[in-house]
Amino acid sequence: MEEHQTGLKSRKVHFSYPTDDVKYYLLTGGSGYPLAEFNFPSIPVKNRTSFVVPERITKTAHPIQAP
Amino acid sequence: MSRQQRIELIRSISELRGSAVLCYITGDRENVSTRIAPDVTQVFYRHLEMYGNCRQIDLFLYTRGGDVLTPWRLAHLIREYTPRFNVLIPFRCYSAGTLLCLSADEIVMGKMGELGPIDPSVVNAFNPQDKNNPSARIPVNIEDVYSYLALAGEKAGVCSNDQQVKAFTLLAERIHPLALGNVHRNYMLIRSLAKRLLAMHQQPLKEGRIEHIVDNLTEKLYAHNHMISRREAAEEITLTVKIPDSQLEALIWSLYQDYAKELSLADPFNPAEQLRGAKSEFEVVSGYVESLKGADAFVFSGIVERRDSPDPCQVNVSILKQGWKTILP
Repeated sequence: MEEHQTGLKSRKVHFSYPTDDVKYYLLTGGSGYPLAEFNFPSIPVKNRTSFVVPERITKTAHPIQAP
Repeated sequence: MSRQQRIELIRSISELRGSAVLCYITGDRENVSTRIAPDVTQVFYRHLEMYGNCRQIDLFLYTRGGDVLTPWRLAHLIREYTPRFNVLIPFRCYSAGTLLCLSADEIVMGKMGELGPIDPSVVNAFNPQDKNNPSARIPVNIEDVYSYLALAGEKAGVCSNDQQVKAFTLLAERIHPLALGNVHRNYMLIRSLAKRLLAMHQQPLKEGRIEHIVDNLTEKLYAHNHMISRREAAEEITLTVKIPDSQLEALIWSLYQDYAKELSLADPFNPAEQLRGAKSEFEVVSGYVESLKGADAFVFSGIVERRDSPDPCQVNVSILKQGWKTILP
């Protein structure tokens, strides 16, 4: 089969996949789950009941407003 | 919207449903999130005691999840006050939130209602360290571990005992055996909890249906962030989903929007904005338990201060207290 010249040149294509930023949170036994970058003078961070964990939280979309 | 207006929404839902309505919001505001955790049990107790015995309790729930044992405790506590327990889901209700829904006789889901898989990630002192932050432990998803073992068996042709031992050894070299033990315990726990929660319904489900629901929610959705719509929840997973009429749909969505605005869920908490001068105290609310009888909020309180050394214009944030606080007895 005859090959047709398409006129297209091979080009390097770069894809950019945006990723969520990883943030670190302090996980304790209670409901609070704040950013680990904060200071916690009253919470012993290094004991076994609290852990710093990475988390990718999908950004909360702005709630849909009624027209 | 003022609290009075929000109370009117709760009252309208309550009258429409003929139920006592309890609202539980774990805020997912960036930097000050809250989650389902055991400390909320006493807060629920306070509201349930104020309601007393009821024909029906509807829990309005927004959450990204949390501790997997708390739903079990909450479900039992709520059932102490009513023979009929339902949940109202305006939007997100993931993970431990979905687990709590399993105990409900009826899951009322709006068009935006979303459930999630019940495949928790677990963390203990033996979890792997994060390379980018050595003080952090990387949570391990229990289904990922079992999926690896399944992959080895099904796709990589690991059949003989020796090969299985090798595959497991490879895993144990990367994840501490005690972290793996924790994974296995939670693998068993989540299935057991899900079955027992489903068995709490007023109208018992058949055994085959319980297995079907549990299998789907634990391992057949294949992604932890899979968002389960009400149609999928009803038709494929066969949960006891109820579609609200347009009036109820509008009410539960308005109530969600009110909480989202009140808690600024769409805007990250930026401590620098709290700064007045060199040092300021702040309080930020990131969770609610509210009913017609009263309101409790999860409050972070602390101090934000400007530091100009070692780098200029640095802001230090200290969280001095965090916990549930009764704001309306």
